Amino acid sequence: MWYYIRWTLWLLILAVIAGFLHYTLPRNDVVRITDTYEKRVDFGENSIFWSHSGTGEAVNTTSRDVFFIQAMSAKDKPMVYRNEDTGWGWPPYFKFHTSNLQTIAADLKSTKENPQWVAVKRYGWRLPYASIYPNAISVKPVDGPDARVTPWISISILVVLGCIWLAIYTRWRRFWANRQDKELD
Amino acid sequence: MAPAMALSRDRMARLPNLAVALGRQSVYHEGKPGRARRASTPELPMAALARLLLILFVVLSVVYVSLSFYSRAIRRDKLEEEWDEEIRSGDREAFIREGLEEYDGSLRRKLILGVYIVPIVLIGIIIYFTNYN
Repeated sequence: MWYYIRWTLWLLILAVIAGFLHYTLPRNDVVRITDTYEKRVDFGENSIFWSHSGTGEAVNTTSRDVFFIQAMSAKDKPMVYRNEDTGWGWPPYFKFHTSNLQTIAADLKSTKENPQWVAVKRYGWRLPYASIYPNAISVKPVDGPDARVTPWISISILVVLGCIWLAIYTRWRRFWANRQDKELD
Repeated sequence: MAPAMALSRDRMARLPNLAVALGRQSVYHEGKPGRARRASTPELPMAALARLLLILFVVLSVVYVSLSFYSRAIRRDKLEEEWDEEIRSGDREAFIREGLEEYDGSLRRKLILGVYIVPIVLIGIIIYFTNYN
């Protein structure tokens, strides 16, 4: 009984951590930008999935205009990105160049007949049921739809986090082992 | 309500800037007829940056203090071991005290300050590569 409860708890904690990292770490999509637009968004229940950066504009507003980038993947799947400053807040991308990025994205627009493939670095999820969009961090031209972009940043962050965890875990184990030894003595 | 809480509420009321900066109060005064829907007070400049630095300072200080204690304890363990296995003569306490005093002035201990420096440098690098590259 306790065995199952303990494992369920551990799996839950693990799932939360994995979900958090999956949302926060950057990934690359190779897509073709079809259009860019700006839309007013009234934040509701999905408010935490929008950026609330203090980059000179008012904070705690309940609505504002947001930049969006529309794209199609090589398999003709639609993808819509929001383009928002993260500012000094979470996640720590320190993105302030939203307007510039929108300009670059608009400049890379292309048609199906004459596609210009780009790698969009982004974090976040696309959840249509809650109107949640991933946030685009950068847009870079690539050679073709099959281009692979190795996510070095995510890999290094995961390695560093793994090292920190291992360092703390081994010391924790050693600490308790030492205590048990002392009690036995 | 606890007195401390009541006091802070009171302070919030008198300092709307602070309340807004801490995210406790909306910048809009709603439902007041005849009043334009606009920010009632100018915000503290770079309030978000100030908040980040404050949080960073608190978290890194906790890490710094923990690491300092941990590192000193490790050094003490090593000195005790050295005395027990190699020296075994003279004053054990004095030997450990001298060793720790030497450690207090050492470069190794100052390296722990990297806990503050590394994240700040990292933030600078991220800002550069996100916005200017």
